This record gives sequence, C-alpha cells and structure tokens, in this order.
Amino acid sequence: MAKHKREIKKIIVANRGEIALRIMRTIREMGKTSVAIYSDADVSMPFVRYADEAFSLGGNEARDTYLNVEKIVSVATEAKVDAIHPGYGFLSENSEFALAVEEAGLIFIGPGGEAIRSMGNKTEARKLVSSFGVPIVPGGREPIGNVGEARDVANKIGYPVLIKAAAGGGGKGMRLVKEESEMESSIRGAQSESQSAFGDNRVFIEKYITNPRHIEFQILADDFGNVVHLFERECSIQRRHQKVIEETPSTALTPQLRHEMGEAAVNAARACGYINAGTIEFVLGENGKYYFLEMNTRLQVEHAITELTTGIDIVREQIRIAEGNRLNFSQEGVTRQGHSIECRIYAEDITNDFLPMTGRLKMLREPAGNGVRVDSGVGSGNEISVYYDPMIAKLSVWDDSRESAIKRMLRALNDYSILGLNTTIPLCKYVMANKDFRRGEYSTQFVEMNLSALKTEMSKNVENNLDLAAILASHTLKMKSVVSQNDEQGGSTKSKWLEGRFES
Amino acid sequence: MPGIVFGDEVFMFKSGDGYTEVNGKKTKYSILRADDGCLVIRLGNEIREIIFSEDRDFIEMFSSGTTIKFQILSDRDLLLRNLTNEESGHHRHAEIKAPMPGLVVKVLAKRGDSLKRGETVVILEAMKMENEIRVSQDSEVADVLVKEGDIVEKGQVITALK
Repeated sequence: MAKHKREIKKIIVANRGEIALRIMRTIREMGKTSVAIYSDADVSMPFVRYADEAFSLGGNEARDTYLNVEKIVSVATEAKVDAIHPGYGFLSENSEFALAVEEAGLIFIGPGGEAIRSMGNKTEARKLVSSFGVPIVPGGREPIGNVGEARDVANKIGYPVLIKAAAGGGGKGMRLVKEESEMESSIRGAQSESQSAFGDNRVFIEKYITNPRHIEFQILADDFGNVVHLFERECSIQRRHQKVIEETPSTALTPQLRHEMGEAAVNAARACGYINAGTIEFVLGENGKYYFLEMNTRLQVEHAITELTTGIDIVREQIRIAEGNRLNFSQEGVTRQGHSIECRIYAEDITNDFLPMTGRLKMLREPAGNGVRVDSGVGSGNEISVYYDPMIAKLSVWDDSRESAIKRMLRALNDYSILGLNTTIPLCKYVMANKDFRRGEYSTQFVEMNLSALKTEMSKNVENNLDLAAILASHTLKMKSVVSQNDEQGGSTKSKWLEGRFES
Repeated sequence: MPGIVFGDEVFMFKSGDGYTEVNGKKTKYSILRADDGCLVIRLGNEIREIIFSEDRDFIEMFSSGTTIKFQILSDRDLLLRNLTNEESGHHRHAEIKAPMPGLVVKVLAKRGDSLKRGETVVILEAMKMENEIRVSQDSEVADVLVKEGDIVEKGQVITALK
C-alpha cells in the first residue's frame, strides 16, 4: 500500500445487506459517494436504494454475483470509483480479489493482498504469530496428510482435539474428536466440508480447550507502523460454532490479562505487517491461559459494540487509513466507556437445530430509543432468500453498566416484532434472562447446555398468550362473518368495520 | 364453540360481547383500535398491542415480546375436523395418548385384546363431548393404563400397544 496521501471520493461496496448499508452511511457522512452492486434477488433491498449509484450484477448465486471478482472489478471500473470496500464475508478475505483491485488501479479498503494471504491460511498464520511470541493452541501446525498422521498428532497432544479447515472460518470444516475411534470419519467429514466451502480440503488438528471462551481484540493499523487495539469483544455465545451474542467488556478478563492480550494482539498484527482494521481472535481456557486462534483481516460483524464503547467509527478509520492518513490517536488515547451487547437476529428455527428459514418478512418493527442501535439489512416485505445468509439485523445496546445494558437489551428484544419467519430472538431473550449469563459465567458451550431449557420455555408461550389468541381469533371470525354476510347480500367485499373506518 | 389450534393442541373458546373464555379463564376486554394487522385492546387497565398477520389458515401473532402461530377453527371447521378424525383414526404410535384433558367414561379394551384398525379403546369426555379414542392400525393391547372415572391430562398415555 502506498504511503502517500490520496483522497477517496467514490467507493463501491462489494457486499449486500446490513453491512453494505452500514458502510454507505459512513461514506455519506464523510461527504463521499457510494456505489452499490446487487443481485437480482436483492433489487428491492434497502442498501440498493440507499446508495448514490447502483449497478446490477445479474444472477443470484453468490459465485455469479458477490463472489464474482471479474464482474465486480469491471463494474468498479465502469463506475469510476476510487476504492472498494469489501465488508465482511464474500470476497473480504480473498487475497486474489484484493490484488485484482490493486491491479485495476483501485484502492482496496483493507489490508494488502499479501497480509490477507498470510493470515488467511491458518497454519501459516499460527507459525507467523508464534515467532512473535504470541501463544498458540498446542497442535500440529502442518496440514494433516492422512488419518494415521492425525492419530499421531492427537495422541501427542491428547484428546479431545479439534479438526479445522486450513482455509476456513465460520465453523465450516470443523469437527470435535473426543476419542481415537471417531478420528477417521471426522477427518473425512471435515475434508469434504472444507472442500465444498473453500475449495481446499486441507485440515489441521489442535488441542480442544474445555469450556473455552472466545475473546477477540479489534486492531487498527496505519501505513506508518502505528498499531492500536480497541479492546476486546467476548463472543462465547455461539450456536453451530457461530457467534450469536457478543459483548464488551468481557467478564472473563482481569485488567492484567486484558493488557497482556491487547499487547499480544498488537504483536500478532505487527507479525504480518498488517494495515487497516483487523481482529485477532483468541481462545481463553478456564485456567486463564489464552491462545491465538486466527486473524480476521476485515471488518468484523460485531464491530458495532466496539464503536459504541470507544466512540470510534471503525469504517471511517478504515477509509482514512486507506487514504494514507495517520491514526490520530495513540493506544493511550483509546478509552472505553460503559458496556455494550450485540444480539444477531437471524431467520432461524431454534426448535429445528437453528436451520435457516427463508421467506417473506410480513411485518417488521424494530426497537428504538436511548442506547439502542439497529443495523438492519431488510425491511417489511423483503425476502430472506436461499442464496445468502439469513441475517435480519444486528441489535446492539449501550449502557453505563453491564447490568443495565442487559436490561436494555431485554427491553429492545421485547420491542422487536417480526412476523413471517422464526428468529433467534427467543434465544437472545433466554440468554439475557439467564442467571449464569448475568453473573458473567459462561463459555462457548452455553447454547448447547441450555437448549432444552430454552425449548421448554418457548413451549410455554402458547399457554401464556392463550387469552390474547382467543381475543384475536374471535375478532378475526367476527370480521370474516361480516365480510361473508356482505358477499351474500351482493354488497361490498369490504367489512362494515372497514367502511366505518373510512367514513369517520 | 370455535377453537384455536397450536400444533396438535386444540383449545375451544367462547366469546361474546367484550369477553372471551378459554381454558376456564374468562377475559373481559375492549378494543381501542383495530387496523389491518394490528389490534389494540384494553384488559381492565392494561393495554395490549397485538400485531398479527394472516396467511390462509394460519395466524401469526406478536404481543409483548412473544410471537405465536395458530389456526382458528370455526364451529363448521371443527365439525369437519372431528368427522375426518373419526374416519381416519389419529393414533399411529405404539402408545395411545389423550389428545386433550378429559374424563374417561368408558374403557372398551383390555390387556391382550387384538384390535382391528379403527376399533375404539376408550371413550373420553372432554369439553362436553364424547370422543372415541381409536387405534390407527391392527394392534394388540399391551396394557391399559386408565380406568373408568379417571381424569387424564393431555398427552397422558392411555394404552400401550404392541
């Protein structure tokens, strides 16, 4: 990346949904011009109409649209933009895309293609940061060639072990192996899942940390060698190995541990000459030992809670850094206030193993009010399609203490009204009300351990709302009988009630 | 009496001017506002907003942070439903469970009986109706777990089958 200053006036957002919208808001605040790209299915999404300019990609499959490097670079050239913001997911961690953007003479808002490449391969990343003194999880750093090799590594470090995709992320290609007999089928499963998700079947093995907590540090780094962290985010509430609730500060860190991990994170970023925003993920064991997991070389889904507690707009910093500006604060200048929590609202069926749901959002009413931030990608009437991830929105709250932030989140979740699709809201409400969570004592096993209690709670919803259901049912039957009476009389199909309403 | 159906549970309800009665609980209410998809009601001093959406047979309803989905059955729907149930028989498991809370008025089967599909095991009185609980396929009665005069809960096992 060039060290000279260069102004960015026009930015294409190579993404969709809530994150495209979130990035465009900052672009507009900075007085710059935003360009959207969209698939056929996304034509009526809010991010398309929010943009200053929009270009159709044609098609729907991710590989034909938001993953199509050639098409996106050609649209960017046609739109005469200065820079591309990749958001998260899709091409955000694809080094070939970053290089193609640079080759086209455009600025990639993110790290250079080289940093993405070295951090994108988990095995290489661990070698690299380990050489800078950052602790890593015990395990083989080399991709596993065959089942025999896998058994040798596992016997050396001891079961349970975790098989992970070398090119992966997001829990895909991941398998927990509790004993040797499970190894063969787990390796095969992880390899084929990894092949179909990332086009790369290499996997490695590491020690599985019991009751681990997932702690990550937000990093910002400029062209001039300045690297700061914006403190941690705790992301231990996960389902299907994927985050669903995050908070900051973490209840698991002492000031000493926070300081140490922050320094380790900065060192890990320095290890690869990192520039722009990134996230260093750690796993924290019950014994207070932490290990580097991976670096995400992009804006993170859960970045909003860091923004709420530090007051720093991370997307604005990303753009400023890409323009060749120095960070205008040092590590000491980064302060944090209060507590922030994010709940991810996905269209998923909790009672059916959190399987994604697709369909139309018949009604959507979002929470608002003091300390509530909703990053939403859809509106009433929009479709959650089969093509992309089923996220509806990210709901974040801020308050001065953890206890009051939890209460605020519960209030906001109760205000959230979504009809048409099942969502993760009941899970989020359960977590906020749970004693262990309220005490700050939880691990990545939380959802699995509480799933049956959650389902029992959800089954009481019917009983608790029977009176309202009966009132609604009798109202509906009454309306229908008015309509059909009118029909029989050959009159208007409008109900008397409706007619009355228009007259008054 | 019309009913509301949640999954495989049916709740009959009475309604009249400004009240409904379901599961033995009578609720008085007044409607403050009625729009497409939104009903604001008052229960005593308490205000409830009900946001809802209708999709053919189903109603999805949101109120005070909870979303539930149910089906409304008019008197005519219920009549049809009972007729079809009696024709097809509804119990395909190795156990027969009470489909609703009720009083066992008659036990027709005993341990060791071989029953043909559609034969009645017990008669259950619920909501002032006698319901014949039948077997859905040819089976042998392994055990009868209730006797006449018993009150059974919904889901309670009445008969075990082989």
